[in-house]
Amino acid sequence: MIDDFKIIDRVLTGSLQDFELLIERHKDYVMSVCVSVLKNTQDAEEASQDSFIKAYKKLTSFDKTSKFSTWLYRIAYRTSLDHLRKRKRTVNIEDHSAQLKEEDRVHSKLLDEERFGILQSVIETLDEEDRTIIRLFYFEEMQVRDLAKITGLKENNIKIKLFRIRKKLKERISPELKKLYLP
Amino acid sequence: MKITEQIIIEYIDGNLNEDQAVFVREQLQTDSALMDSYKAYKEANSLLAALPLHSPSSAFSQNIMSSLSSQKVKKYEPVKLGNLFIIPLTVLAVTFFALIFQSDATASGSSLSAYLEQYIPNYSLDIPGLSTFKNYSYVLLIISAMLLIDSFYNRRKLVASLF
Repeated sequence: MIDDFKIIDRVLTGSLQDFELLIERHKDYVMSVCVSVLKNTQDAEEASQDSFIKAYKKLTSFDKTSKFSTWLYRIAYRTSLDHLRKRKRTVNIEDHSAQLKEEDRVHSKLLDEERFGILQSVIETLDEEDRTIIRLFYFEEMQVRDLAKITGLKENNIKIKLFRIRKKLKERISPELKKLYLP
Repeated sequence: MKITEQIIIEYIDGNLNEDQAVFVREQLQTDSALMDSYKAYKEANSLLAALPLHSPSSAFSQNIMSSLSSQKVKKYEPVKLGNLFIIPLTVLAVTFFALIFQSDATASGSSLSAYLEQYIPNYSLDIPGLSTFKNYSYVLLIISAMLLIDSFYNRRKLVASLF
């Protein structure tokens, strides 16, 4: 598989078609970052498209000191936050959450429904920053320092947030586990 | 070492060194409460790791590509030879004027100074150091003119590229 840097070089020398390879490779991750901020698949798709267009326009400024995905997710995260700020309409967030929950359920047939329900209920209580952090942490085993670059937070803050989120989830899961392990 | 929840997480993430990891493993074998906590964190971890990815619609890539095809991106452009001429030309100009107008101080009849004296009243001021000042002024004037020509040339190129 051609690495991202080589594709970027080709795009920068005028081969626009090669940018489609980057889109295909990263679209699900970018979309997931946007969903975790916007909690709405329609808005997230719009933000994802904007993110790729911004990435294309700024491609010359990508200095290759980090992974392309880190740079791209940072753009996606910032773009989603911009969309969130612009979204002035008073949408019933509960409706979107329910829609998202339903989509996630369909996508994850392998997960035990009860435990997944717990996971969803915990994720619903997180703000967009925490949701993004937790999602990115499990993408491609993303490192804390990469998360810091994407969100603009300090590494220690990221560690604390990760700890709190997992602790919250663990506290919700523990009683369920006890039920499972009791005879 | 007291094993906190933070340490359990660091253990699960594989951030502890070998000695610390062995110690935590031993404690887990003997402390059932710690083991429960460990299991819960492992479960939380596996649930989070199984979070589904969201896929955009099938027309996603097409939409972006059609939007991008109507835009231009800044590309790497090799330096054109023509643009490089500005440097030796500037050096030549500076040398030329430094040589020619240095003699201006000795009141050469064909100098620019003598020419200007015909049209500008009181042009020739007999002030010490004025000659050097004039020379530098000429040099700056020429460099400014060259920069103006260069920017005009670039603007023409930009306009040409738009149509």
